[in-house]
Amino acid sequence: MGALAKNTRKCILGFALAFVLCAGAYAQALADEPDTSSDNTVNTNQLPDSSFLYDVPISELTTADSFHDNQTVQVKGEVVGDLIADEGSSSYCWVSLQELDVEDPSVVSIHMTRELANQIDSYGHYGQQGTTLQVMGTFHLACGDHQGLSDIHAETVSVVASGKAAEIEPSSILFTLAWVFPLIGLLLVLYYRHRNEQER
Amino acid sequence: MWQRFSFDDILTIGHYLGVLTSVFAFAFLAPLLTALVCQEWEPFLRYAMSAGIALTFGTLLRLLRVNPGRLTHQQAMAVTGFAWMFLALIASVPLALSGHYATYLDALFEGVSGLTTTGASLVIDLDHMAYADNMWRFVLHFLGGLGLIVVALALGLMGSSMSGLYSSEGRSDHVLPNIVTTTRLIGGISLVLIAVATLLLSVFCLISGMEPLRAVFNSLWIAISGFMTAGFAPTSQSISYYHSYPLEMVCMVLMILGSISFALLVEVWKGRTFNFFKDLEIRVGVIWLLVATAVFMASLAVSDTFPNLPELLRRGVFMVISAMSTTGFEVVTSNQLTTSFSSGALLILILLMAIGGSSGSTAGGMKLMRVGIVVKSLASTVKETLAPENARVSVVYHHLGRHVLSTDLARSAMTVSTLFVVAFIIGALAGVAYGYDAISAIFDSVSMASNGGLSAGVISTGMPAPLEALYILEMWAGRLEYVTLIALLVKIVMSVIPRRKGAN
Repeated sequence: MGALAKNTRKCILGFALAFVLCAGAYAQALADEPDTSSDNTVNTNQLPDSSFLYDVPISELTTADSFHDNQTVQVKGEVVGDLIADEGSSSYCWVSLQELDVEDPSVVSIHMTRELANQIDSYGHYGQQGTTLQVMGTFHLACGDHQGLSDIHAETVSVVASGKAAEIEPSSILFTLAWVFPLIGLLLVLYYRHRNEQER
Repeated sequence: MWQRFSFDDILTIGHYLGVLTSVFAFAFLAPLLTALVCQEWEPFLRYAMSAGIALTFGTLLRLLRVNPGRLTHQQAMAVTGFAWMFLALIASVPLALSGHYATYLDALFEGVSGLTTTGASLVIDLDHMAYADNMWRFVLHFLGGLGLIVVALALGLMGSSMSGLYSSEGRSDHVLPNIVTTTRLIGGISLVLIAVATLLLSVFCLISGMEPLRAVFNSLWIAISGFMTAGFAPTSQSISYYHSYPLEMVCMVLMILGSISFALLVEVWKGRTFNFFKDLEIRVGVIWLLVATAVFMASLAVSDTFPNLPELLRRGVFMVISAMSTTGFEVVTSNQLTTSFSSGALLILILLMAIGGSSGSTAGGMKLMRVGIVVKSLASTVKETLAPENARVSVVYHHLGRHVLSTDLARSAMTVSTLFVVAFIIGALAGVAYGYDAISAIFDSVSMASNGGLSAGVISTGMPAPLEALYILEMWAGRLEYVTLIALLVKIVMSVIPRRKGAN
């Protein structure tokens, strides 16, 4: 009986100690000041985000089946051609983005605001490399807003690299042949005329 | 039985090929001047060299026989047949050196596609191409659309050997009694229409925000490509690059005009619109266009690609006209053709390219005239079956006058149509053998053989070389409407095979 009473007292003391420790921890938690800094607010109205961001090469979009349709994509490329006005809205425009660093680059049409397009300092053409942009937006395989066109509606645009002139130097062999062949041709024409006169 | 080419024939054929090649050297002036204006010095040197190559080889060929005399019909056929490939080989030289083609074969494909006004392209990085190189591509379209022989005859280069050359190039319409006058009229009509279209398109491009020089160049090139029903575009996104409905409208008008016979355009110009509306080709064309458009729209409407009717009409009608005229302009991507379009819509495009436009126009395909003749022939057969035994049945059709359908004409139409179908099948089988999807293989084969230019994805950089070579052959043969080329190849084979002892 004495041992039993002793064990019981030990159990009771153990439970009491645990209770005190838990109570203390709870009290401590309640005592911590809440973080009221502005960048850590929780928007209880935010809906669950089910979209994923796909970082894709442009060639994958131009050969895509419906997998990327209406998905948010991120592409990087060189701006080529011209800034084309949007037929329906003066605030928007079209820009062509060409894939970088591939042998046979693909091109995709980007629909963006003129404000975003103002970041472009150069449009790629012969002898000129255009601004390199990173564009995030929604890809449409056949856009309902633009008569079934394949396009990306840009949400964010950032400049990766500015445009620059591309050096195109003709080779010395080409320079030589550009004189040699016309000269040979002209001499042969003169010889032909001489032969023609002789045979008449 | 078979007449062979003699050594004399070869020298004479060589001389006239040399004439064409020498004059072709002057065509390089267009890209040369463009390079000079735009200060593109590397292209300038390339085109100077290429002009020299053309002049050198042309003159060497002319020296084979300094005074060749008149061309026989057989010789004219050979000159016509070889001219297209020979000039394409030379035209491809500056393109191959431009850095925009993976191999010389790709550049040759581009040259043949340009001259035959097919419009399919294997160019790499088109948006960084020099203005001079782009100008050259469209000069090829202009020359090929008019016809190399037409250009030569208009310039009076071929002397008195005219009729055989003219008909060997697949031309049958004599717009005016004199062939030289006819060829000059064709050239004149083309230049006027292209000039007017360039002006209109330039305005739309400027409104879109393009710089003036780029607007004018792009407009000129689209006008040439549209009226010649050719299909090259100055940018990699074809006509969809411009995002301009008025521009698309002008393109559609150009493509329709380009697919109407020059002779009929002259009839309208002279006020004889009755002849225009009574013409067999126009009637067949209108009926076919309406039926094809309706079926095409219905097949597109089944998919959710285009949410409402105006958008469906904008893209759909453009693609129908582009396919029927065998131009090849696109307002949808090759990827969309195979993913967003139903197989039924693709089939309609295939049939449109296969039948093509009017004879005596710049369009390719079997031609509306042949389809009309075949239908009339069918009507004649049914009439004969139903008529009494001693009745004489004749079927009349209108094409630049009233004509009675003859057995020879019906047989000729059936023969050429059959040859087209055989070419479609051979090209399709080759595509399938290389592992391409059947619909895509059929689509691209028909496009090549009809000089259509649209692609469902088979025609791309890195395609198998033998298939590429076959497509080149299809484009070449399609431009000459098969009979000339087949006859030429048979004659060459017979000339090479040694005579058997005792044979005549």
